[in-house]
Amino acid sequence: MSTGYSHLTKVGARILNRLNNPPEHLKPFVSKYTKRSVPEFLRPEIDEVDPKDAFETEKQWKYMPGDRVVITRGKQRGNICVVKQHDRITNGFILDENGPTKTVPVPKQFWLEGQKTHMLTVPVALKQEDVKLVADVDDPQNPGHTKTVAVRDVTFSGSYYDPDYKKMMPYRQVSGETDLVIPWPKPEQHEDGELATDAMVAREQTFWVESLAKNPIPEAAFLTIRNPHSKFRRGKLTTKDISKLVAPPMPLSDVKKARLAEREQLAQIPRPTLTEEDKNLIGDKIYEHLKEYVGR
Amino acid sequence: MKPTSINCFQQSPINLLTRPWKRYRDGSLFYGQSKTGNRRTPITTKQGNKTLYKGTRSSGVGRHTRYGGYLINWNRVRTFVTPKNYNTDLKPLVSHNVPELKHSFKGYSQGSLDSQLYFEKLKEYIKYGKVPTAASDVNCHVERG
Amino acid sequence: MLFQRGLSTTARVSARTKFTRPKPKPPKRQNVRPPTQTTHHDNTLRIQAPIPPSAANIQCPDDHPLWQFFADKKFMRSPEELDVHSRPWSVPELRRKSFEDLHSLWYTCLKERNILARENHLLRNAVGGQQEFFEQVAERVRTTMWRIRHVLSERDWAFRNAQEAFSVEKESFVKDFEKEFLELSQEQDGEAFERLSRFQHAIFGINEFIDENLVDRRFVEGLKYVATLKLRKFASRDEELLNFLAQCPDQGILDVGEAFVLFTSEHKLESVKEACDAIKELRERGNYVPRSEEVDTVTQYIQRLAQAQLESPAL
Repeated sequence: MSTGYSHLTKVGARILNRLNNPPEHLKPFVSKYTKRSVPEFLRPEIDEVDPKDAFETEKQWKYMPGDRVVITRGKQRGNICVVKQHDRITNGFILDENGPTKTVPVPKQFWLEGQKTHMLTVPVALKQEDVKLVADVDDPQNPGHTKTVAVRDVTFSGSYYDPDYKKMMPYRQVSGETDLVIPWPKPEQHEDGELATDAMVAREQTFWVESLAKNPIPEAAFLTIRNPHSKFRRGKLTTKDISKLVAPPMPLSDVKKARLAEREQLAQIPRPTLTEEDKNLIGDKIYEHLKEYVGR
Repeated sequence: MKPTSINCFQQSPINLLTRPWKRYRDGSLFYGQSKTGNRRTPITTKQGNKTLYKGTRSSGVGRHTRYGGYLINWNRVRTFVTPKNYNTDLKPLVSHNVPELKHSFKGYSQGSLDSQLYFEKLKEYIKYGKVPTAASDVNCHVERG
Repeated sequence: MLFQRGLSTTARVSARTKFTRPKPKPPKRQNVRPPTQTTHHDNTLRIQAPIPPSAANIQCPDDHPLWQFFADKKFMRSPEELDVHSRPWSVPELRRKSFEDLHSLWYTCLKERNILARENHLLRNAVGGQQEFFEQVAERVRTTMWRIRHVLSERDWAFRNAQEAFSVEKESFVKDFEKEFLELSQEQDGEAFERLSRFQHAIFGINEFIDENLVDRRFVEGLKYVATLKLRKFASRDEELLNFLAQCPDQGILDVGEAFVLFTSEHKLESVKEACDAIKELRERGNYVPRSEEVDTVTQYIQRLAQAQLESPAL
């Protein structure tokens, strides 16, 4: 049962993190190994995604919990279900009871409350490509009535403040028909939690910019607010930093060594100096040449 | 060549539940990823044998006297300063039913550090005193920084 | 003979003389400190029947400090009881909180993280169960904590930037205030002087509470400026004051002693007039504070004023 103390300390966290991103060429092997070693009831039906590719925004998810979707692949093809939950590990959607499920054996230590047998039916996540949004739109043939359609794709534009989600949300439109806006579903309501500050207290203002003469923060607090010795702030490099930044001299290759030796040898050969005789000889040669040239 | 274990191809429920190569010493089943773990991490203070002293670089808050006592230098002792007027109404988190406030710094190139913004706020304070801004309303979701 | 066997000197050395006579017993000490800890050497141990171990035998006071490591005095919260919906404080929300509030919040967060770490550790190592929720909540609390530090650091940089830029901006800033201050009518005097009080605190660091003031060059300059402004405010309502202002060199109060008299006068026409009379008297007597002694003089004034206020708190 013991898992040590790694959760209480940051010692070695950097190295442990590195285990999560194996080198590119080992990725298939690692994922295969993980798949094989994870027991069936813990294994997601679709592939897990990299944490950096995990969906964050509504624009990426496209469908929120509460949306109706139609399944376009698999045994349950054609079923209309409600999205119950986002599966953040796989970027998938977990649907209601009309969606795909699997029955797996679960060991006793993982049993839910009221479970009687080992076999448990759990919903399976579906990829975004395998579902299409279902919406009620105005029927042009019978005015005043709506008809239920499946939307091939949705696009997003603009944004507005949504009081249900308590944040800015993009408008969701049918792809190609920008005036056909499909509203977001109403999110589930929850009570305020134990650790939640009361709304009025959270929004009460107790700070105003008051002075240009006195710092708003007491001097003694600065040591815990920021590190005065931080390498990003001290503005100079230590010898350790410099040794990290400066590349070491490369060792010379054999060819280069030979070339340098040759150059040294050449430099040692004494250079001939011009004597009077040589100068006369050159002068004569030029005179001969010019005489011939001018004569012609 | 060692033949591949037939267990690798069977998909029986019992086989899926029990993985004979993964058990704790006391016999209970192990469902984690890896039992051996990673051995390349630095050891912590809790590992090693009795001769290991790693410490937290936090000891040495004083000195030993000649008579076996210890004098604590209080300047070196870690202290947690309690707030003067402890406001216990503030809890560590905020209710999800309150919109997350955003600040907009339109017209102020330096954002929250802009000195013009600071002067603007100071002028407002001198003129009106401690008047709460629009965000004191719970439903406000964006205001000037 | 006592020493049958011995060296030749043994008997002589060990012989009892008047110098080796045993000393009389010292008198019994009166104020003897009783031992702080009693041990079994004191024979205080008594044998009694063994106490069976049970939870009822353990008594823990309700205000025991270690209860701070427990939520609601429970051994452990279930994942359902845990608050998984709440979000961390956002930076803009924290920007509106005073230093004391942020300090309190940081402290509360620290305590909560202690509780969560305890539960997490037990779930991992002793009890067993789903501990991811506890980790997630702890991570959210940690987010609040770094945001608090971020906001404080940001507040400090904003202040420093503004202070640096103020040398350029000061003139127009002060002019704007002056204009608005002088434009306010007689009926709005109360508001006007409240503004002035905030202004002098903001720019010159002149605090309303006398003993909290730190006197420096800026304080002295502020004193002169505020005195001049006050005089100009009331000069528009009274001919005599207008004449007095016109007589002043450079249309303002340049001496810090005079400035102090005007500064401490009440915000009423009569008080200002009285102060001006006092200043005239000072001038006739040739009482001037040299520039080199201004800071020391004002410090003395302030100390005297604080002393006077201590003695008569009713005023």
